[in-house]
Amino acid sequence: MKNVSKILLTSILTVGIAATATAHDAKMHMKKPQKADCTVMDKMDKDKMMKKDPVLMAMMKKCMKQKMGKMKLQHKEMSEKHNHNEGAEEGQHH
Amino acid sequence: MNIIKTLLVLAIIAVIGAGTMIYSGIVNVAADEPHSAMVYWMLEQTRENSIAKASKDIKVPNLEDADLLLSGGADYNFMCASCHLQPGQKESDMSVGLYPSPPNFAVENDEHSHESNNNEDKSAEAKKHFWVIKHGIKASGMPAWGKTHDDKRIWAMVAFIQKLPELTPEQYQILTAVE
Ligand code: HEC
Repeated sequence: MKNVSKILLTSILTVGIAATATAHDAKMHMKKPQKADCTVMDKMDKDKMMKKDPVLMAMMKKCMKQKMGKMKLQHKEMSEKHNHNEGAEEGQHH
Repeated sequence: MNIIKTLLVLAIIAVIGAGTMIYSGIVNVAADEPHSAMVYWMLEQTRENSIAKASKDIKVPNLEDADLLLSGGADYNFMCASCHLQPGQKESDMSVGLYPSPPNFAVENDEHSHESNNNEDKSAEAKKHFWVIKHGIKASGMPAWGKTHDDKRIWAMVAFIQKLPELTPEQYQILTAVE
């Protein structure tokens, strides 16, 4: 008997609590996309690199990609400059 | 016979009680007014037991994976950090204003710290996290992300959250940045 009234009392409370439920607006502050700051990677302890740490591997992966991207860009710029100079030289010849 | 009578009386009391709560407007739903200790305890127990039961049969994949961390990091920063914070951050509008308040994943949780001590507990926590991220929590600010994200992306966020307490702000920045 005691148990039954306990259960009932609990259900009264539960209904009461359910009534207090608040649905919050999950509006979020938008974040601006940011490039990875890989300068810290260069300063890092190289001994630690030996470990098979997924966090480290993930950081290296990301920063490697960035470096490759930069190298490609530099390469493109250089070859563009080169072409430009060639063009100028040819112009002087004539 | 007596039992049935008592039950009936209690049922009527329950209906009247519930009706009063629903229609009178005496229940304060303001998020800036905390629950009483008893109500809080009941809600917390209900939530914890519900999540533990619902998530106990989930299989946890290998979470020690760089690609998972990169995917989870970008998603976490974009979708979760406003409420659950990031290394070096103590509070946000959301973390302060929401009630129940979102746990800060950037620090080792006192409540859970004993849990992450061995692998079994770590896996139980991963299951719970996966379930909550996928299904959300009713009547709190925690959305169900499973409606718009597949399981792989959710596991990636679970993997990232697992590492989050040990990340420095600089590591966090690199892992979460989008190129
Ligand atoms: C609008 C704010 C908000 C956003 C955005 C949000 N959460 Fe939550 N989250 C909450 C709140 C509030 C709780 C606590 C709910 C409760 O205690 O009943 C919570 C709880 C959780 C929990 C359960 C924690 C525990 O130990 O019980 C996990 C896991 C979680 N959130 C993960 C995430 C992830 C991952 C994201 C991003 C995809 C996210 N949340 C986005 C508000 C938010």
